[in-house]
Amino acid sequence: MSISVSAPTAASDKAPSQFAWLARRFIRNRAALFGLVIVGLFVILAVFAPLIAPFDPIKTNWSMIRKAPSALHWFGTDELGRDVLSRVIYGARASLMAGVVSVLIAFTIGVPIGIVSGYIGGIFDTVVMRIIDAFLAIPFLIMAIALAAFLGPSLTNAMIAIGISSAPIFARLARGQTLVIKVEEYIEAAYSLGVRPMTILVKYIFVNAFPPLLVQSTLAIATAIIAEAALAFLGLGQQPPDASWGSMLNAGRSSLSLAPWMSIYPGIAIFLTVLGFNLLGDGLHDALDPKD
Amino acid sequence: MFGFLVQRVLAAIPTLFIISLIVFSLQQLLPGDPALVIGGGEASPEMLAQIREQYGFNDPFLVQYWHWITNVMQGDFGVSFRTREEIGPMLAAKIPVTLTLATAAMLVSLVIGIPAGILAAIWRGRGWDHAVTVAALSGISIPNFWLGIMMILLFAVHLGWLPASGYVSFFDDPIQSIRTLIMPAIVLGAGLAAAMMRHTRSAMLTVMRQDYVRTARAKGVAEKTVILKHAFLNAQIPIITLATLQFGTLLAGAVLTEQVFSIPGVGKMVVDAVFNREYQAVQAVTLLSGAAFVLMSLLADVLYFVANPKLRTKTL
Repeated sequence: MSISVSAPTAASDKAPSQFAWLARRFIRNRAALFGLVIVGLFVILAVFAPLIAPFDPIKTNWSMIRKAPSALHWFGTDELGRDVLSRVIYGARASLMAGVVSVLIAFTIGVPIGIVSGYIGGIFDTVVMRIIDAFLAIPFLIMAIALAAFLGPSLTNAMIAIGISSAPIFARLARGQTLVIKVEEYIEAAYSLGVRPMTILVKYIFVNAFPPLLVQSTLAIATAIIAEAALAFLGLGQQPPDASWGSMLNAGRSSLSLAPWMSIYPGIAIFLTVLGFNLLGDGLHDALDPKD
Repeated sequence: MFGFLVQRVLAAIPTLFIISLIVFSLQQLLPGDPALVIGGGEASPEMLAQIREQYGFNDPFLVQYWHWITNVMQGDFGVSFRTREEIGPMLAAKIPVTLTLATAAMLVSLVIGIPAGILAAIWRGRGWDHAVTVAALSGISIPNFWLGIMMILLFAVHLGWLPASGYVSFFDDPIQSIRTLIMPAIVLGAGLAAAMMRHTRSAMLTVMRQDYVRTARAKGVAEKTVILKHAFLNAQIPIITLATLQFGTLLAGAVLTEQVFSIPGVGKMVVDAVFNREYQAVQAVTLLSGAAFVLMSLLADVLYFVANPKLRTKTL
């Protein structure tokens, strides 16, 4: 009896075949695979930056200021003679970390609020959703800038700011999923069997709401990477001399006519990483979409 | 219609109230003594006392909020510490600049996004459709401030066709105004144009599968009329939603675009305020952008009425 109740969540005996089926659907999507390759490459760059980067990213060299790309410095050098390629490689660390950590923050704040609100319903849900709507009304980047401004400029605070600003989207999505799932028969069956509400919330509702939340997380990483770059560009993210794509773009702006390479390569890196996560998110969405 | 509008306006009031509470709560995030954070390490004890007095830091939270919101409702957002100028009039002078930029960007996104999306739906699966899909995905993925820098590099530095930065009011010099606005409008509108392409394509594909479109074709109605009159008019709702609700995103994007092109709008003001520790100005801009979103949601509802006759007959 309990087997039929727990079937939607504890499909552990079927999990490998389901996963294989999903993986097959995902791999067949060439765009998604391309996204995965891009993201994978940037993850490798970030993790193995000390081994891959040809130069120290913060070591200045006054004899090599604003040198054009060459065999020695593939992406040229910046206004302090630092190797742009090495800084782009190290910059992947700040961007990917900001993307992942801020989405984790958003997920951790937003999803429990959304699930509990949707589950309890009634006045509580109405009040919570009004607050969420108010948060969503403030444009994401302006909220992130305001939060980063009040918290103080640093990569950690930028991640917190982006995380808090993204949390309402997760709350909305989780609440929507909960409203759909909580009226399913297996939830009713679990009630009848005396399963504790906390178990229902975590093992039944959260587990079944997870696929769309995973898709949203992937797409939110892309948004968070752009937001981190934007905050760093404005001087509210990673502080010098540490490498960050956004702050590199800001530094390059003042030398645009003299050293355009300072602006070109960090921008390409942001674009490719964001594109990778967007393709990955779209691919996951298609693979997990039961209607397809 | 009037009753519906009143109902929507009343429903917006609690949202605005919560937005104001969120925005005001931001100053609680200031680490340590907020007066010291605002005044800086070099501030004298008298200056710190003045800051505490001006911000009401000695009062309980709700009293502080009440003072702040009653002032804000009278257009008083406080005084700049640095320039001693009132923030309200400063903001009022900058809003038209940002609105001009955001409106131009919206035009760019509509002019590019809607026709491209319609054509992609008509030629589904063909070369144009693939090109639109790639362009839309690229448009969403490209950071607009980088796009701005690249456009300056190409069109201002290398080709010399357009000015690299600045803003000229349309009423002072229309030609120069348009020249200075072209690049920022494209940069700010690119992301929305990409989203518009995707939404228009998707909405058109849904509508074109409907029976009434098939019937129109079966009756021998010209294909152009089927597409523009029968299909597009019915695909408007998601496009209106996107156009109106994304206006807030445009305002946020304007912060970066104005920074890149040195446009003296609200976005540049908020960035300058951040670095000058003018937290009241940051709060003012955040509050106004939230209020603008609520206003645009109301506008979306009104436009639904105009676009969808079914809604009009239901409520009349």
